[in-house]
Amino acid sequence: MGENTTLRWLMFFFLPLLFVYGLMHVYSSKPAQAKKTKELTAMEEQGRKVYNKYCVGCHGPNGDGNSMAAPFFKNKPPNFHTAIFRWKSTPEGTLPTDEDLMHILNWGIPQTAMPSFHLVPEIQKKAVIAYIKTFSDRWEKEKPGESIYKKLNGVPEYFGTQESINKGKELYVMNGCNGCHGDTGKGDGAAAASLPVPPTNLTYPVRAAGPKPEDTFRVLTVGLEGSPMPAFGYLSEEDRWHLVSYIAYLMNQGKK
Amino acid sequence: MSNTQDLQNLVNYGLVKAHIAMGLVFFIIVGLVGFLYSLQLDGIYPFPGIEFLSPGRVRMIHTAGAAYGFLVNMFAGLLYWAVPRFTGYRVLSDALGWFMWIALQAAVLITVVAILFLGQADNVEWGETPWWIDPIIVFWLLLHLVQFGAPLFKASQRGPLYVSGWYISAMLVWTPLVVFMGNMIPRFWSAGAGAGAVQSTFIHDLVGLYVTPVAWGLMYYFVPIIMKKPMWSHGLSLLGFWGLAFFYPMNGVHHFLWSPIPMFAQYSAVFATVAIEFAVTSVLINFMMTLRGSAEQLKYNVPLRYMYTGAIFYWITCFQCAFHVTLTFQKVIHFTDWVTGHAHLIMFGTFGLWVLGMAEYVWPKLFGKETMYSKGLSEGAYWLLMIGVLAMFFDLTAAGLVVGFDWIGLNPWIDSVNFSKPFWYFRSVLGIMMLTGLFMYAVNFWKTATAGKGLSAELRSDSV
Amino acid sequence: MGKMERFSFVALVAGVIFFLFADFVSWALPMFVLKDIPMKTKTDLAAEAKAKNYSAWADFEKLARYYPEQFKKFCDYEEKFAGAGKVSNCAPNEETFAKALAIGHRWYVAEGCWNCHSQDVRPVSNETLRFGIPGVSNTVSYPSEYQNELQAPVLWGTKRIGPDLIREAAVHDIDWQVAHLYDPASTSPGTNMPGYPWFFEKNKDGKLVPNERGLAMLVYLQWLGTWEVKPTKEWALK
Repeated sequence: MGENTTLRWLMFFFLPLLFVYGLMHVYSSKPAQAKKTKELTAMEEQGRKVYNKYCVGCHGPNGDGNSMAAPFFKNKPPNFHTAIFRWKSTPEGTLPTDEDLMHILNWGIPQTAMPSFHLVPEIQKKAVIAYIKTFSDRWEKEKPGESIYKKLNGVPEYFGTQESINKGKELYVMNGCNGCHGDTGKGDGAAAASLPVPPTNLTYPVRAAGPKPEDTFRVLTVGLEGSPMPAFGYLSEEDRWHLVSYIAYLMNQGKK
Repeated sequence: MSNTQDLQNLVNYGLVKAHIAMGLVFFIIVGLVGFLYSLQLDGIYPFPGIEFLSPGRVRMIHTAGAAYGFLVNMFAGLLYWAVPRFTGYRVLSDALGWFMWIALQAAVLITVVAILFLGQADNVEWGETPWWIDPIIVFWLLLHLVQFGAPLFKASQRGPLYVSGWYISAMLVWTPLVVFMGNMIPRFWSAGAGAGAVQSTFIHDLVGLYVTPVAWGLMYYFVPIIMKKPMWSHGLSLLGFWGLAFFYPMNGVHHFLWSPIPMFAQYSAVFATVAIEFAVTSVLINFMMTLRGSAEQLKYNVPLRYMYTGAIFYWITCFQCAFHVTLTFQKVIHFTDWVTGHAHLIMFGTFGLWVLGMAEYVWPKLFGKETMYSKGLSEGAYWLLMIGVLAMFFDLTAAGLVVGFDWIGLNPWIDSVNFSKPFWYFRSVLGIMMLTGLFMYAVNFWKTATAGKGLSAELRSDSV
Repeated sequence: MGKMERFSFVALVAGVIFFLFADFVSWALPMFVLKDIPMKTKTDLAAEAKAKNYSAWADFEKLARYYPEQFKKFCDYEEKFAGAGKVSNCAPNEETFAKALAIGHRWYVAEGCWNCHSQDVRPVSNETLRFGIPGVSNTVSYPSEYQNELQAPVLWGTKRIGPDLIREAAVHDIDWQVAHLYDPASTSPGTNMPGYPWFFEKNKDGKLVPNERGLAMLVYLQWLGTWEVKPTKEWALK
């Protein structure tokens, strides 16, 4: 014993205690989430790494959209804890399909801060989708809604014709689109400034919803849940396609 | 000309001292800002949020400072030493020399202020000087032509010029033309792909038609002087010079291969670059054969060792160049750190080491001393600089290959940054090593200049 | 042989004749080949952006809507070095757009952005798959898009630390660009790009917003490659 006592205490009591404290500190500083880190499956754990590599800057370490970049955004990132997604093909109040989320990762959401991640390997994107689902327990309780892409039979023949554009233009005013999106479709309508989410500029050559007219048709049908953009499912399918025609006209303005 | 008194009357020692001293000061500054920029690549920046120390601006000081602050000063100093001595005539005017010295330092300092504080850089690589200072530089280079052209012209009235004279004569004519072309034409008389062709020609011509000929000219002077024997072959000297003079100016466009410049210009640049390799090899053979029988001098003669190390690095870069200018290699290595490694090996490894060697040979003589202050500092600086730049070359070349293939593999961009980081960390460490070498070198210079008593050479039993 | 070793011969043949011959091959001939491409001024570029409804024009109007106070200040902002003075009519019009391009380009050069970002998409190494938006703006660089005032001297660059920017338009939104310009690590974790806080100021609510130079910089960035951003072929009208 004697002079070795202090050393022994240090070796056998104090240092292990420090180690345990360190471990506790490390685990307690992990982002709070619906699912504990240790409960993550291998896929979700992989997704967590991908999330921390690409997504954490804007979506925040907790997935609630409180991040370093968010204060600069006019169009804020979503809160993954509520599992409310704007850009999806399923009806309001339901969860998006995996294809919807994958579509967002590949195409991005142009005109919002979400860029495209088309160069990230497929397996990593699948993993990050799995990880995003761990933020909310809705994903365990509910099933994704039915995608409207299943009901779509491609673009109708009259899409993009002058007649369809004219009808679309009438519908655009009749349904009050110009209130937010503006008379010229530039997203500068009378109500635009007071909205929590800036309305999109319809003359922009790249659509937020996706590369195809069907994607924009889908937005008109199901709306953007959690944003002021309502669903126009009550219009007939033909009318909705006329509106998409008008948007096509706006996008092609001045081109060629 | 064997009389020492005559030689001292030929050379204005003050000008040589002033130019070399300023060159060394700028070398250290340029090295420091280069190190600072390398820290940014590692993600560590000591001055975040300070506008005038933004890494992008600091990087332009690194390149423009290396060209105008370091190399022009060093070469001018060494020319003031060498040209009068091998021609036998004084330079045109000492007063002009002092005016040019002041003008050069002023131009460099104004450039630093304009780039850092005023944000008036020019987007010509190696010509980052603001456009309004370029005519002043051209005028300076015309004075430079007159200043050194006078003794060369006088000497060639008497008979053929020595090899150094050819290189330096051609350089004196080329440099004002090159600077005028590269800085004025892309800004005022063209744009786009045409301007790109001019700029690429400029980047390469500044190396090929200023730095290379003046450095080879000085090498042809200093190497035979130090070894006390003539060059091995006059024929190879002729071949080397005329090969360089013809092919070097045509190389430029190889900086922008696969770009919107018309393909015929790209092909001719590739062809000329491969051809230049033969001219370079002929020069190298000449120097290596001259060394034959005197190689043991490299063991104790540090200036000579600097020169031969640089010569070997020169051949490595040119050999590498003959391969990586091909359109095939360019697919992988263009835009990567391979290019940075190549540039550092040629600018620091070759021309940097050469001027350091030459300056170390000249410096004690300027102060009437026989040797440098410390053999240890001298050797230490050599090894730190040599190993530092060689390791940096290998490090960046490897980084370039990794990143080049990563880009082709279409991985997300951040991956290429992450893959580069270990290489960049290592490069910063090497930067510290090279800076330490430079400081040792500078301390040695300072001590040599200020040493009270004459430093005399040790008598070596094995020296000739 | 003796004649070849004289000052005048070397200066004339090597110094002048060889140099001129090389310049002829390296850039005079290429310029001759390219001479029929019209040269565009900043005003032309602004007019084109408005007339053809480029994405950059939409982004420009969006910036003016998002930051009206700073936009007003930008109108009054003068920068002699970039040749930009006060504008007569402070609204998103051709004049203000041309001014934004001038100032944005000036600071793009002054900050040395071109040291790490190239503006040249090559036809090799899968570069067209990487830069731009697939199906929209992923095209190889071609000579005519560089034939304007803002590419004199050309901004191709020789080194990439960050990605190429000549197809940057519409790839990222204004929101993203603002956050990224202030602190790149906020949107791109792990990046080693420095932040540019001097392009920002605090507005009266204490929020960080781009200042005059910042706005111009954002317009310039969103303009790069905007001429290639066209609706996908599925959106073609009949």
